[in-house]
Amino acid sequence: MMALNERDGGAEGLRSDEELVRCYLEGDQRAFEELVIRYETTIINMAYRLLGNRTDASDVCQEVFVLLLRKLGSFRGEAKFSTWLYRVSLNACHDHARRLKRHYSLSDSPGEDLPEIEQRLPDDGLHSPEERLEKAEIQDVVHEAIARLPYKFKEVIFLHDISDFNYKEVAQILDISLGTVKSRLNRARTRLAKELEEYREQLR
Amino acid sequence: MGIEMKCGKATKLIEPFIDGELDSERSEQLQAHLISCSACESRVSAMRATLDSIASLPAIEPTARESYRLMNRVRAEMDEPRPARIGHARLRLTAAAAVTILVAASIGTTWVVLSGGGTVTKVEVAQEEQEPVSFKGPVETSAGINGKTASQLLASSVTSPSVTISGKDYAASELKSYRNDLGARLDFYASYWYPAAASGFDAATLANNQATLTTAIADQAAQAGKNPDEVKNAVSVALSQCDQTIPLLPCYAEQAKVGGKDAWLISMSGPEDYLLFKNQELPSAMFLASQGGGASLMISQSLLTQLASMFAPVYGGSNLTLSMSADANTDALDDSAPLSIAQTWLASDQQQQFQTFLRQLAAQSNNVDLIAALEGLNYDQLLMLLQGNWNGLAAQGIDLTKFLVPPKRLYAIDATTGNVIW
Repeated sequence: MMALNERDGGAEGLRSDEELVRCYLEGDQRAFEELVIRYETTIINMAYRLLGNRTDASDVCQEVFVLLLRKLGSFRGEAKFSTWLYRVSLNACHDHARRLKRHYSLSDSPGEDLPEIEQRLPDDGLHSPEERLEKAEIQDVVHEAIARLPYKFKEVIFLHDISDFNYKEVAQILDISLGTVKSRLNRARTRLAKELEEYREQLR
Repeated sequence: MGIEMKCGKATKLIEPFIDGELDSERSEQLQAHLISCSACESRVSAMRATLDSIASLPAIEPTARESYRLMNRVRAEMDEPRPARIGHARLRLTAAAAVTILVAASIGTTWVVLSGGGTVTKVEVAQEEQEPVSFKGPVETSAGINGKTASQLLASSVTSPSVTISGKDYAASELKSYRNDLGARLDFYASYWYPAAASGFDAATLANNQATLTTAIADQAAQAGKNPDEVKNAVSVALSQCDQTIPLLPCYAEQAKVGGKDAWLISMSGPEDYLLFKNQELPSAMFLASQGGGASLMISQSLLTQLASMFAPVYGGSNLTLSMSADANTDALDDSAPLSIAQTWLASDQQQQFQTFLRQLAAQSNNVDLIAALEGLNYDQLLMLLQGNWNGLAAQGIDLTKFLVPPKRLYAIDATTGNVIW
């Protein structure tokens, strides 16, 4: 996906996550830097969805990588590195959220520092300003509604509905049963649907 | 087909069905039920709409500044003392770098003494083995590497820091435009930054380099009849003034005056051109740098090649000639407004690629100004950059110093008090 990575990978191609971990543990700092470059976007998106605002997301992203660095020695390679990384990162986001002791409500405007509408809307087939505005508003509503969900529900929404992991993978990352994944998803989505419905009612 | 499904059961299957997690038999049963049950059918539509809303949330991209901060934090963390097994690999690198430093210290030094009357006396000290092809003093203006390849240069040239005894009285305004680029020179890179980079900018290697260079400067000052402790102190004061997050090496000292006070001017070299020397396989990039005359090219050839390969399909060779394909979208350019590359002519996937490139560059080069400068170019200007058309860029009001010359790090230290004058 990244031109520079491919270049740096040279003839041997891109190294796997697990290979990079091994190289780092053998003293190659560049290997960990490569993991940072590889997963920065993932982690900042995770933190943004789970914490609700960009500033916290940016801070947590740093915390997560520092934590990963410290914990890397305990990565046993039983699970895929990415599974382990998601697990550690989700927990770090949760800890951060607890520390903030903040309850996101509408008055906190978790969506206030969303990027500009134009930047968020690539070519989506919507042309009139009204259509664009409405879509942007709905995105704000969804973003805020997710921010208000209990953390357990945010996790499954982020992993399944945003990051496209399947039930089994979500269960592995969170170390919970398939049944629990399904019921959490159901409850989270029901809440979100209710909030969206209320928003649409207001518009009428 | 089994027995007909009831709404209660159907409702429970709707989500797994939409999520693609339902086996085919139950999928078919549900679909059959949906045909005859409009209530369940509308439940499916509502759930799909909700999921579409969630899926439509835009992904965010880290900014170059965020990436830069993150990488700095991670590097600082990695530089914390670590368990012994990691130190082991480090030790070997440090030892290799130390050998290089020893070589650097033992091969000839060349320096220039400007006497009070302004005559230039070149004093050559301890020239051993072959004549270094390196730069012969702080006042040289054109580089020229006499057709040597970069590897020959690397093998043969080891540069020591320079000491000048000028006694000249500088006004503060003169210091602003004063620069000595020894530290940005090819041979200095080869001698110091190359091994430093090979050690991953390991703190111990850097400290060793700094100590070696400081001693070399003091020795030269002593040979010129100056107090070595005075200049040593000036160097360490200057080092303490520097941004501690960037590895820096003292490369030049000049005994002079500032506003009538005796002072040492100390110049630091920084690894701005990390991209230039990070890839040993790119001797042409070294050559390119050497063609920069008194300045060094901040935009190295490896960087240009990467840019060109992303934005121009055909990129020709080391002399920075470039052919652009006809399908590049120049129509999007608006003469009246300064348009940035990412906003105007790149398709959205290319924009993302460009942003990714900038983030990686930020992470690798530790240079936020360079990233900002690149982000601010428009399409025409990027082309000029790729073509090495510096005059064209200058004509458009682009500040070339962002691309051409590393930041100046000159310090004036009061010779007697050790205070920072400038």
